[in-house]
Amino acid sequence: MSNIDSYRRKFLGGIGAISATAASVTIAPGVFLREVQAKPADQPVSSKVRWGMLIDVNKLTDGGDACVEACKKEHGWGEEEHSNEQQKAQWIRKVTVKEKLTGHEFSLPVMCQHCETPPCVDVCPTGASMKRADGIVLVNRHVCIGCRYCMMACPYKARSFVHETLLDQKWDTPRGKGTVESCNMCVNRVDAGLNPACVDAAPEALLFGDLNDPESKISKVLKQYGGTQIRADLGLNTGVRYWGI
Amino acid sequence: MFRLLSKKVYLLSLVLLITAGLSSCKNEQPKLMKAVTQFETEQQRDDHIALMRKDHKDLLRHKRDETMIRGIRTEDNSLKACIKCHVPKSYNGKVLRHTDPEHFCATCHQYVAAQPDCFQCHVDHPVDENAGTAENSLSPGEVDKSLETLHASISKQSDTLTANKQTLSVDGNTQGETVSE
Amino acid sequence: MATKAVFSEVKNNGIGYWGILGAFGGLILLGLWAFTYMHHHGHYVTGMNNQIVWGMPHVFAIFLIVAASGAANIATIGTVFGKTIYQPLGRLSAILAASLLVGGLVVLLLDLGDMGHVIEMAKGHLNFKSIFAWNMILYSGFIAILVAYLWAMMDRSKIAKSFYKPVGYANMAWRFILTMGTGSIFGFLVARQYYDAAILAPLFIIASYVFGTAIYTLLIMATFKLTGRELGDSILNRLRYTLAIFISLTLFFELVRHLANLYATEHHGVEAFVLAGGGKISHLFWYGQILLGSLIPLFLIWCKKLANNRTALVAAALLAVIGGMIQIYVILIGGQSYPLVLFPNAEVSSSFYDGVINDYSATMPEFLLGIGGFALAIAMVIFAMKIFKILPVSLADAVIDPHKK
Repeated sequence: MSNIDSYRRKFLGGIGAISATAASVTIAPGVFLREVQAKPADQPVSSKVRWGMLIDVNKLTDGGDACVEACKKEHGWGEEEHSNEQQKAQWIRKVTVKEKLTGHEFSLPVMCQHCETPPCVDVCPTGASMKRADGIVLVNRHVCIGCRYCMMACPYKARSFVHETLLDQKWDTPRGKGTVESCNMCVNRVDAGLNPACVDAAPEALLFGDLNDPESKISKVLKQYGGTQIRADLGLNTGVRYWGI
Repeated sequence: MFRLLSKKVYLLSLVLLITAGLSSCKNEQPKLMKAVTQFETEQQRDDHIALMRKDHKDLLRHKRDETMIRGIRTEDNSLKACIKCHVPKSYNGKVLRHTDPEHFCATCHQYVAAQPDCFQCHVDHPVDENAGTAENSLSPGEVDKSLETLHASISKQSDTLTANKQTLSVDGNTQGETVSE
Repeated sequence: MATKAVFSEVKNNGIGYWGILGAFGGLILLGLWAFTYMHHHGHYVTGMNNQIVWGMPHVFAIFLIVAASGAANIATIGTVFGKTIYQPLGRLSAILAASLLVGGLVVLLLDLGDMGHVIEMAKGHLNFKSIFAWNMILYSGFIAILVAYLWAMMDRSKIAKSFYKPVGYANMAWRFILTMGTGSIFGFLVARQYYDAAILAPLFIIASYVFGTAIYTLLIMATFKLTGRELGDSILNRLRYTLAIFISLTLFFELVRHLANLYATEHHGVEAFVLAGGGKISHLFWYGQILLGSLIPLFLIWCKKLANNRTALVAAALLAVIGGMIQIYVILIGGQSYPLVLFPNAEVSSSFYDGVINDYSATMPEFLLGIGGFALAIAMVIFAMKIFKILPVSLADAVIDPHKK
């Protein structure tokens, strides 16, 4: 995106103001009507929809800490007792970046980028690492043999392996020993018409919606101002885009 | 090599071994815990029991594929619905887990010593949607112990079943299939 | 033309045979214990984590699988290239290849997080875009070809003999595809700086020749000594010098690979880490793989004073094996230690170990599992030797190469 556009964007104050000017549905300042429609439970997902997310790094006051906490609370990862710090699962993390030349520093939340052509799906021998028709990339743990090849293949280090027996998993997020897991775009919430937990934790900075629908907020805003992919050169066409990186 | 004894002796000891093995099998079917919610009609219940007895393995696999891959989340396809119906929130004051022999799935699966791996990932009892898991969680020592219980209870199956008379109801003996002898 | 080779089973009994088999059996049991321990508790008992996802068991497994491919080469030289002097060695070569492959696959299988789901995979579908899935077909097919090969070599019927050459060719072609598949496990990973290179496929092929020839040499020298059979210099020197050629070729491929990486700025980070990082990985690379594993064996083989010296050959082959394991370790662990680069030309940090070199130290169960697989492979060969006519009665110069002056 051009310098003028980024300047204009920053001037207007990020997603909140952008959405307001882009014919949004605002109930009150800072409160947005949920764009996600609940899919009827008996209908299969279809590729008419492609779920995506936009993260405005400049609007995050904590660099994504609230998003990480919300995800932890929703899905119950990160408290594995026997695993050491390097073995504990992490679905989303705050990454701090300091450019060497300019010294410019910023923090951003990084999770599964829900690529259009995910390398993790390519390498999975069983098809457990899968992309749903609506673009959400997740692991079908029923079929996962725990070979961890997808973890080798992911360019964003989004995946974690469960190193120990788990008990008392969250009611909506089954997870267990010996399988690989990652951010699943809160698929259980999305199917019920809710936003992912991280989006609700930082609604001023995160936007979730249907990338295939040209009338959706996220599509309009991305069309006008663009969105950066991490490791764009890999050509994976990620569903998660950023402003300010 | 093995010409110490005659062929007849080997044959006889094989027959004796098989008979001894068969006679030590428990004759009673395991008694399943009564479901939390009941069907409206007897017919519905009988049909459900017949269907599940025959097909629950394939049905579970099919339903999970429907949910995982096609995103179909009707009650019919939901494991949570099965658990809400068949596992009480608490049993004798504590949480009922799949390692306890009274747990609906464990009753039969411990009897046949075929461990389903559902509960490696799925939580084995209904959870209040908004409750934190602090009250339900086990300490590390308890985790190991509960797995030991599973292994131990397979051998103690009959003792545990006869001890629990009050909440278990006679189930399934009305159906045609019976355990042989 | 050499006289027709005579084969016989190993006749040893007592401690010389059963003792050795028992020792390997003990190692297998330890490996099985390690598996049950890791499987019951979960992988938290290992040194593997979310940063280093493949560790010591995979080093062993990949080494064994690559060595298996190379071990089958000895038979191919006799069949495909028509060098009759190698033909008596063919049976042991095929058996060794099959056993090493099985040993490696067992280690891979037992390390899986959820092995039960392999049945799901067998009943469901394989994802054929995954090189892993292809490898499963290639490995099983390889064993089938080896069985057919053994039959063609051992059965004296006309039909069997007519299959000898075709199966030999099939063996060679399949092996190339198989080892390229193994190299491609890494070569196809765009995410990591140390992988994502087509050269990894042929590099694994040439490394397989080194590992296979070295293990074969050690095995045939040990078995012939223990069974009192004669092993002439003629055959040993051929194995000796082919080993040297393959080691130099491996050095050449590694040189090409690193030079290419050093040219592209994109790969400078990982090259600096591996070649000049000063840590465990660069020490292992220079002292382990290059010096111990390549240069010293070459010296031991090519030094004129050591010509025909059997101790030098044993030392060279052993060092080649150790160097080979180190080579796999550097590729596997080094490639994972270096962080993924999400933001180039920036200092990166996070709670998930972005931007830092990741350490790895293997725990005892991992070593035991890997060694158990190795022991399984050797035990299978030792057992096969006793029940089948695998070993030639004599490989003395006069017997196999009477025209040698």
